Formats: sequence, structure tokens, C-alpha cells
Amino acid sequence: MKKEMLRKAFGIAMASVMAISMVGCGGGGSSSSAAPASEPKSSAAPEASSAPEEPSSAASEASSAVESAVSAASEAGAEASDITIGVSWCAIESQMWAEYQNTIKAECESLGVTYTESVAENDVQKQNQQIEDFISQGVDAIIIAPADGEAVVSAIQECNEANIPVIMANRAAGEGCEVYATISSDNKAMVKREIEYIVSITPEGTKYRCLELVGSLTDVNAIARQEGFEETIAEYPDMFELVSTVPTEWKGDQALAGVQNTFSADDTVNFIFSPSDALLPSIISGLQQLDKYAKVGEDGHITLVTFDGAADAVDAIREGYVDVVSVQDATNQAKLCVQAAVDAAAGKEAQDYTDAGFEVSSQNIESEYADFTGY
Amino acid sequence: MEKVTARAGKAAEGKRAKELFMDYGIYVILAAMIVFFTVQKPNFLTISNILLILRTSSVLGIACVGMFFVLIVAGIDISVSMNMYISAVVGGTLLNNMGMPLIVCFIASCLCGLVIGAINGFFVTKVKIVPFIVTLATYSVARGMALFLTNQQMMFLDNKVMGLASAKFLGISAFVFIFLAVVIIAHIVLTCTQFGRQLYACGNNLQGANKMGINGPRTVWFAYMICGTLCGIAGMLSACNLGVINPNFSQGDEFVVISSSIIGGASLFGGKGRVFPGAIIGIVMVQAIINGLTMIGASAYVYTIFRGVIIFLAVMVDSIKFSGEIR
Repeated sequence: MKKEMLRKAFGIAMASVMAISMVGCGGGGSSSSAAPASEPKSSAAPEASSAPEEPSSAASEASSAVESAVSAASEAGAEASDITIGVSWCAIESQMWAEYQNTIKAECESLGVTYTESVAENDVQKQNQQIEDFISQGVDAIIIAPADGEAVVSAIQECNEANIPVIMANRAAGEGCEVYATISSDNKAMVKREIEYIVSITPEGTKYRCLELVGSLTDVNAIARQEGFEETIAEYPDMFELVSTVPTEWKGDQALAGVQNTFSADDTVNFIFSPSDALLPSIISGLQQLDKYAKVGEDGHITLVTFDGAADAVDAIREGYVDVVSVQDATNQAKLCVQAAVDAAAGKEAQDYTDAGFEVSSQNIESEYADFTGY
Repeated sequence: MEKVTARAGKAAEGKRAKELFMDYGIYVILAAMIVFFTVQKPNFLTISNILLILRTSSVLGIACVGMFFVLIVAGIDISVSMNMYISAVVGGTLLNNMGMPLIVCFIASCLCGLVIGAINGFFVTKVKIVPFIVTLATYSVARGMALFLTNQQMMFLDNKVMGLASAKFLGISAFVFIFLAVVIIAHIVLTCTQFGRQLYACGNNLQGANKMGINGPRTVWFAYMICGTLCGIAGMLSACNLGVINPNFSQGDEFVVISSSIIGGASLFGGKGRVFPGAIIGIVMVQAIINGLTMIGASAYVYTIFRGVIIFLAVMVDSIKFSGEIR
């Protein structure tokens, strides 16, 4: 009997330990700004207007928007110490999001803004609940990096009712709600420019047989990149032929299987489009296993085109294995999110900012982007 | 009288046909699928592609074998995917930060998986909590700990793992040999040992097994520990295969593992299933569909539809099988 009671007590104690660890360690939990802000690893990224191609009107508009936002933020700096910002992350699953998170922490610390965050692990339901928690905490502004721009609309509507300004980070919200500012990249335009850049540096008569990897099918950015890629290659039918489109849900194992299966079906594929640097290590692993990982210019080289600007992708370009990466300036976007939140809390007007991005390739990395290390 | 006999005969025939379909229907579907993909793309039925399908099946196949043990004792383990994640993180940390040999990292991953399996087994057998809830909790704890240990960042593994990922014997990937070795050992344990028979007995009727003198709770506990250990191996193998551990590492793979096991003949109601050839057939079928869809250049959305259909088919077949049984 005594043994039985002891056993049960031990069981309850273990269950409590499990419950505590779930609260303490769970990626989905909220955490406040107690952690020291770490410095972003990258050197300062070049300005958006220094894109290798002719700066488009969108790019110049973007630069002026950056300047105005920065000046507005510095004016607001004096009042920032009383402000609390809630940041709702979809998930920190790539280097781009890690850079975003680090920069937002650092920026809040430098402005003296109180910072609280939660990670939804790509669970739209959980993200909406976490945003509601921010509302009940009475934060002054909420930065949302949504798992799904459409699914988050109802939570933003609640923010609207509570008069809490919302800033969208990297992904836009769906229709039916009011957003103070959207800080994002024009993914479609960036991919289009990236492919056109490939066209401009490719000798005439080259024929690319393409494997296209797609991110999550519920991610607006993934879809925009897919559309950008497919629309642009359709404009050059003599140069590009789409052999296979593989969905990955942003998961490395699905990207790896996609690469291996595609080459098993068709050994003549010579072009891979990766919608994020997060998939690049798995693609490289697949090519190494197939003995197809060759440098640019070597026999059997597979043209690798990627997106984001993570440090490992930039290193791979410098080593000569990857051809081009379209860089979205996560550092700058994150800073602008904080500045917009501070402006919003201070009742000032902010503007949308679209990151024009820039292309770093094996041809320009030692000249124009010699100092660029990625993030 | 004759009419009654004829009706009974027809009913028996119908029942036999249903049983036949339930037992061998999966092979018919597999054969039809192979024919379909081969007609669309003749490359599908080449030795190199079959070996590739086996290779891509091997990582989750090992986890499937573990899931068979748990399903046989009428349990379920939702934590398999996050067990793979935390085990891979533990192995990867030893590899990267302490420069340990790969074999030591694998042992550490196995131990990590074993601990999670033991925790699952403890709460299921000693505290008598429903397996679904226990393993859902360990899923969350393991994921949280893995994210905490990696600081939610990608963990790039030392390049020496590429040696294992690319290793081949007789032109066949080392991963396939590891998978087949695990299947053979598990098959022998389940069919030729007393412990194996005890597992089936516990799955069919735990109280009856206890009355027969079998230590039911201990047997079930061991089943969870075996599942955990195999998930540890699968996690580390997957990390070596990818060369990186992402924060979404193996997320959602629990559905693939469970549905493949059910397709392979295990039952959510316990007491059933043969690891050989069940575990191989189950996971190969799922991976062959993905391989075939990529080969024929299917739309990105078709994959999601097929995943849903696979899970639905697996559970439907299992329910129909179970409804015909008396326990």
C-alpha cells in the first residue's frame, strides 16, 4: 500500500516536472526582453539602391521611405522608453528569421523599448491566441510575422478594436483588417529580377532544365516566389524548361528527396531554384551524394539560384558553388519594424516599406559585394 | 433449408473475399501504383530508382519499425518526430562542439531516444495515463528542449557526416543496409523470441496476458523504450543525410510514420503486424508515391492531396479490419 502511494506520488512529481519543462522550454511560449540582445553577425548590408541593375523606381521610393522612417524614429526616440512592443513570430526556422529576431531585440534595447515575444511554431491558431494575450497585456504595439497572412486577420481585427497598432513583418496580412505598416520584400519582383539577372549573364544558346522547389503552400512569400520564377522562365522558353516542381513545406528532408527523385527521373536537369537559403544545405547534401556538386564553370555544374542572403549561401557563392542569391535585407527590415512600432505607439504616421533587395552572384561578389557576408 | 445454406455460403464467401482484400489489397494497390508510374515514366521501374526509394525510405523506416513495437502493444507514440529531433541535436552537439567520433554521437542519440521512450513507457504503464496524451506531452517537451539547446537556430553538422551519407556498399547506400538490419533484428525478436510473443499477447489482451503470468506493464514499457531508441538512430541518420538540423527538423513525420505502419499491417487497436515485410511495404509505398509524383512532374498541390488520401486509407482499412474481429 505504502509502495503504491510512493509510486503514485513519484508519478505526480514527474508529471509536474514535465509540465514545468513544457512551459519553460516550449518554443511556443512567450518570453520577455530579459535575454541580452546579440549583435547581428553580418557586416552592414549594402543599401537597397546599390542593386547591380539599374535602380528601379520602386527601389528609389524604398530608399526614401527608409530615410523618412529612420528620421521619424529618431524623433520618437525620446519617448520610446515607456513603450512595450509585443512580437509574434511564426517560427524561427531559417537564418533570415534568426537575423530578424536578433535585430529586433538589439534595436529595442538600443531604443530602451520593452520587448516581449512569442513563437507560434507555424500554428495559426496558437499565433492568434498569442496575439490576444498581447492585447490583454496592454502592449503599445504588436509586430506580427504571420504564419499565414489570411488566418491572422481575425486577431488583427481584435487589435484594431483594442486600438493597438499592428506592424506586419516580412509577410502581408489578408484583407479585412487595418494594419499600421507592412515591412516586407517584393518577393515576386525580386525573383523576377534574379532570373533576369541569370539571363543577362548566361551565354546565348544555353538551355536550362529546371527543378523548382517551393516553400510552404500556405506562405504568401513562397507563392510569390513560385509565381515570380514560373512567370519569368515562361518569358524565355528557349532558355528555360521546367522539369519538376517539388513542394517542401520549408523542410530540408523534402528538399533533399525532391533533388534525388528529380535526378533519378531526369539526369539532364542542370538548374535548381531554391526559394530559401534554409533549404540550401539539404540541396547541397543531395548534390554531393549524387556527385553533382561542382563549381561554377566546371563540368557538370548545376546552376544554383537561391533567395534570402544567409551567411552559408554567401560563403557557397564565394567558394564558387552557388550562382546567385537574391538578398532581402532582414537586418534593415527588422530595424524598420521597431521604428514603425515606436512611431505608431507615439501616434505618428508611418509608411509601408518594400525592400527592393539586390543580387549577389559568383560574378559580382568579389567586386561590388566584397564586404558582404550575409546573415 | 437449401436456401439458408446457400445464403450462409454466399456470406462466408463474401467474408473471405473481404478478408483477402484486407490482407492483400495493399499489394494490389502497390502493384497498380507501380504500373501507373511506370507507364507514365519508364524510369520509375529501374534498379537505381528502386534503390533510391529504399534509401529515402530508410530513415523513417527505422522509426516505423519502432512504431510497430508500440502499435503491437496497443499503444501509440506521437513523440517519434520530436524524439528524432532532440536525439539528432544531442548527437550533433557532441559531433560539432566536442569533436566526438560519429559512432559515439550515434550511441548518444540512441541513449537520448531511449530516455524519452522510457519516460513515455513509465507514464503509460506505471501512472496509467493514455499513451496519446503522454506522448503528446513528451513531443512538446522534446521539441522545446531541442529548440532551447539550438537557440532556435539551424545547426550545421561537421562535413564528416557526408562520408556516411554518401557511403555505399555494392552500389547500395549504407542507409539501406542499416534499415534492413533493423528490420531483420526486429522481425526475429517479434517472431522467434518469448518477448516477441509476449508483446502480441499484451496487445491483444493486456489483462489476459497478466493473468497468464506475463509482466504486462514491463513488456509494454520495453516496447516504448525500443521505439525511442530506434527514433534516436533515425534522428541522427536523418541529420547526417541532410547535413543540417533545422528548427522544423522532422516536424510532421509522426503522421508519416504512423500511417506507414498502419498501411504496413500494424493496427491502432494492437496485437497485429509483422515488421517484415510490413514496415518495408508501408514506408516504401509512401515514399514511392512521392518519388513517382516528382518523376511525372505533378503539381505541388497534388502531394498534399496524396498525403491526406494515404492517412485516410490507412485508418479506414484498419477500422474495417478491426470491425470484423471478435476480441
